[in-house]
Amino acid sequence: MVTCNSVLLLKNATLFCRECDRREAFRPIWYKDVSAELRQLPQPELVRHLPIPPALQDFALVYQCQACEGVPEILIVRREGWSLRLNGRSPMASVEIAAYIPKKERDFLRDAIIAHGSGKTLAGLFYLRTFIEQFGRRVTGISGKKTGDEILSEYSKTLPANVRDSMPSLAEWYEKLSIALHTANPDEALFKDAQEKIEKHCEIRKAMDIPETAIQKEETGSTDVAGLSAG
Amino acid sequence: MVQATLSPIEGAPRAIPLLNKEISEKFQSLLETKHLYQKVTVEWEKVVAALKEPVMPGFWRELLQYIRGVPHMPFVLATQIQIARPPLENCLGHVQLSPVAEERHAIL
Repeated sequence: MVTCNSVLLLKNATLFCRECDRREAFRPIWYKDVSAELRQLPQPELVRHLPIPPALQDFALVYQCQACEGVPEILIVRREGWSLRLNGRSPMASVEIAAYIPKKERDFLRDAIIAHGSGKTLAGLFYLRTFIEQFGRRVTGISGKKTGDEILSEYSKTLPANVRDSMPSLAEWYEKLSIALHTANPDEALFKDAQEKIEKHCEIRKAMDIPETAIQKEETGSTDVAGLSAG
Repeated sequence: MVQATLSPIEGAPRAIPLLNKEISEKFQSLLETKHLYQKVTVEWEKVVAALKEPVMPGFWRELLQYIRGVPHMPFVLATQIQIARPPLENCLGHVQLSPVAEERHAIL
């Protein structure tokens, strides 16, 4: 019978580094099989009952970014039979966001992706809608109690007429996201579509060099981006 | 297509290296592509299939007997870090890296 051990080899991993704000090589600098330690507890003294099935293992793993050599990150991985699950991490995970995503609203998109990735798609949909609304408010300068439809209708007017129809409509995706939220539907396909279209919209904005700040026309009270809006 | 020429006793020792490779690939995928609470699954069946391939079909039952304990083995953590940094004041140089790294550092 084969008796040597199966090995979980800890190699360098490419993870997102908050300090560097990009994916970097992380090196494992410390690790512990927590379940093995727990199995050795002097049970009568510290715990009365400690059920840890043989096929269950919890690993604490510490990785450090090799670029900035900053504060290390701790991961908790649980093995149950043949499955390995990422059960915890400190600090919380972050993801890389494309440079064309507006900086001020970037965290909403980041939180959306993290929420969706962690299985909380409904929360992710909410963050996507928040991204759209907050971006729309900033560009149009609208504050106070206004509906998303009103804000995005104004936002649409700030877009150059020649590109407006060729880019995904934020108003349309705001509405689709709202329907999912009102029905509490954690629609994964919608999340992926909405994320893609929002990113595409922002990419086109960046490529066309569309300013993010609207100019308020005092006389008419309407919003416009200098020289860009139709009519 | 691999020619089936091995006996079970020759084929069985390949189980752990094959399994370790599978575990390593899946674990790397977990760290690099998955989010919190997501999981990967080590495909033991894939390992067994690769193990059986070079073994004569008439001996597969015996081969499976040899490796029956493998799924119940604990995973032992290890690292490939080869060179430990010299210890520095108040930095991670003090962190014990691994027995391998410690030995290498002692040699250096």
